[in-house]
Amino acid sequence: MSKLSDTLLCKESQSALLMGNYAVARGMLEAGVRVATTYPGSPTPEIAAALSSVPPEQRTYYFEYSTNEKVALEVAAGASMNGHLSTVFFKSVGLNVASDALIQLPMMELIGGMVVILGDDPGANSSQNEQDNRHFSRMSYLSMLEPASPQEAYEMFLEAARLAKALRTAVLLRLTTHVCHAKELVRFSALTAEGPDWTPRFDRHNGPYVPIVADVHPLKLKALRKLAALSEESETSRFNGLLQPCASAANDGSRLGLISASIPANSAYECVLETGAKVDILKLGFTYPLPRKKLAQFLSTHDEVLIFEELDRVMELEIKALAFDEGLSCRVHTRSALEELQGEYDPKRAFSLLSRIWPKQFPPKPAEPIASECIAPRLPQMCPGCGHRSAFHAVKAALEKADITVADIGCHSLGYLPPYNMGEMLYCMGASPGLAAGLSLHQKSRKVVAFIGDSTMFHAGLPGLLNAVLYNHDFTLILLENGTTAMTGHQVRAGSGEIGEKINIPSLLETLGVKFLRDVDAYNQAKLTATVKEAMAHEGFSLVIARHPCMLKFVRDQQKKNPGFKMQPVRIDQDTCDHRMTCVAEFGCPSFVRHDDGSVTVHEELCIGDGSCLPTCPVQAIGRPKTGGAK
Amino acid sequence: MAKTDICISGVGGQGSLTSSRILGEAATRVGLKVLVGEIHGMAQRGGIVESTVRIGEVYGPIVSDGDADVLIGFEPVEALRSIAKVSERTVVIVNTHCVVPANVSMAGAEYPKAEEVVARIAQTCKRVIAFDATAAAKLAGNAQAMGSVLLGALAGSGALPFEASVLEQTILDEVPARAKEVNRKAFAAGVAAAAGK
Repeated sequence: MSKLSDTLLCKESQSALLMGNYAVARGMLEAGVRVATTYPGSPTPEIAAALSSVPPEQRTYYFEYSTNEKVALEVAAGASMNGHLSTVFFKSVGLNVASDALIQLPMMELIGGMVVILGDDPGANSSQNEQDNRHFSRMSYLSMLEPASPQEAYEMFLEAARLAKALRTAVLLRLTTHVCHAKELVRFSALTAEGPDWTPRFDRHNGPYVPIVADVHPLKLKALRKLAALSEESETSRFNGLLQPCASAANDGSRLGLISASIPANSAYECVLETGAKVDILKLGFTYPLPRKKLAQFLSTHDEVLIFEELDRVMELEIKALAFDEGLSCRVHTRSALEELQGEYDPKRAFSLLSRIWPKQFPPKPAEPIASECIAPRLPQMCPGCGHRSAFHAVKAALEKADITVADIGCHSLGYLPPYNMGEMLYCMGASPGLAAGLSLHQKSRKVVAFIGDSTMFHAGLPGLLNAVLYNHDFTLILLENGTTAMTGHQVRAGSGEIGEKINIPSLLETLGVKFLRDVDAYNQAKLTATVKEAMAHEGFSLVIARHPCMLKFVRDQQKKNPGFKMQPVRIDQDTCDHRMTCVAEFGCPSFVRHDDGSVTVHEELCIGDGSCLPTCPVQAIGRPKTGGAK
Repeated sequence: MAKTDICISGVGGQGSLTSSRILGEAATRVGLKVLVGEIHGMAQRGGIVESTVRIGEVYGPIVSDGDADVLIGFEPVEALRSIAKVSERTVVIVNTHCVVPANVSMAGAEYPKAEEVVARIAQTCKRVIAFDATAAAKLAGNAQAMGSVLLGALAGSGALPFEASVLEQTILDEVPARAKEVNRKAFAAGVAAAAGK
């Protein structure tokens, strides 16, 4: 099958080489998910891409990109309270934003059932940290399943949906980057979903849904009882079991065992198969609540056990407590070195940990010289024509050396790299107005300039912005408005006009009470520099919109309408060019090619003919083909 | 434990992920177990793209350092960047056509020459098959068929646990009708390059 939507809609039982994220999406359709929500981000954006690939008239579900993760979770929860099976999926740090809403979930009677998908990123492959979201299951009293492969991701989504419906609750499904993005031959079942039934079944008698003080304890007890029921499910879950072959006792007579889950379980299994080590592996897929009886049985039949997990010692500490409670003498090994608490456990790292603990079973390998090379880094770049580049170039000209610049999440965080070096601090989504306010307090010697994108502003930036207006905090906020959620792949953002009404951002900001407000096209660099200077001189909060549409999206949209669309690349007049390299070294568009003889030309494939570079050349050597010089 | 671990590294836009997917499809056609993995942080913005294809008795998508049976570099410096995956039993296939990163050009820094890079790689691995796959693809009719050239070289290297014809047929089934002839030629050019022709 070639088209993704064909695979998702395929009525028959089939096998297809599927990415974990797509396998999960297939599971959603089979389970009869009615409502799916998200805010985009790695490592789960392909779930949204899959759900969006189905033509609207063929969808048996409603899907939306919500304004932020908290809203996404709330929409899914509301739908479930109305009787619809719902799901919400997050990037690695997404649940932080939604945690306020998550913590209330277990107290609610979710009559339709709900699956909350977490996309963790051990190894921080594309995240700002590698937080261990397994802790959220403990805090929210919600059960958790952890697949180790695309096939399991598909199967466990179905299982999570079944349990969630049966217990009228939410179940957490924790994916990790290498489960989301791995592809394997996934065997899926037939699609038997009935047509959507949109009857609103909310009934307050299913509740209470209002946790007034008198009801909090009964509601919490209800949550704990559901968790206890799920604990029984965990004991009998087919996802918790021994991997074959099982070992007999090791040579010295001691019985060794390993308890693992997710990707580390795969790595450990490969190590055992490779060496023939006499170590049993208990692989867990239903990881919260842990199957206590099964674990006690495993501990009591082994002399030594290693809890082999990535990141924090979540299972380890609970299993040690279990061994204590049960009075078991099994020795439970620990990952003690700080380095062992970070990063992914690929087979090689797994081997080195295992050989530290059981050197007889996993004889340390002679240290192979691992070649490594110190070579030129290949840094991601803002695209040719990106309005952020123009904005950074112009804003930089308005700053003093000591001034402080604050970035937010989005493409513009690339401004940190040379040649711009703008945005010396990056925190979490929507944080820049708050951070900048704090940096500006009780000092006038160093001006503070913060950046934020429009999608991020609507996501979580507005409260910080409003706070800056309220207290008239003395900093300048540059709103880099490109009209989309560019970083994660141009998902629709609130008020862009793609869905619903377009929001007039200057009017909105004015209504919020922003007194110093300017709106400049980022390509107009002279005006932008002057405006930013003026804004920085303003006492109190000032806001400058540096506006330019995302040019990657613009060009793609044009090419969709007109397949041959291409704007003429700019040209450099070689007679005028005096090789001062402003375009290459300061403006830094990747379309410029610097040659060994000191000349600069334009890479015709990369240049989109936007002309944003034109004002940057001090000798006006860059021109459009018709007006510029020849080369 | 019979397995073949293949690492593919390249630059955003070169089509390396398409190649790893096609390779995975081909392996499933002959009934082999396969796991394809990918890391693409900011590929759209000229960043590094790495993928892995693991065939046989494998349970996770990550190839550990020193464990690659084959490393395919869509760009010479990207091949060198992945050198940690290589050991003395690895076959390395390198496209010698350089894609100079914008940050190097901006800083006016030196970019390693392809010959130097290949020489460095050759010291580490069992065999290196280095040639201008971009030029070969252009010769076949389209620079975008570069992935098919490199897959041809992989098939020709003898490192695959299945017939070259399976991989070729998978490519031809995956590309649009108008691109079939170009990709057939591109694949053949890769096979020939691996044979030292």
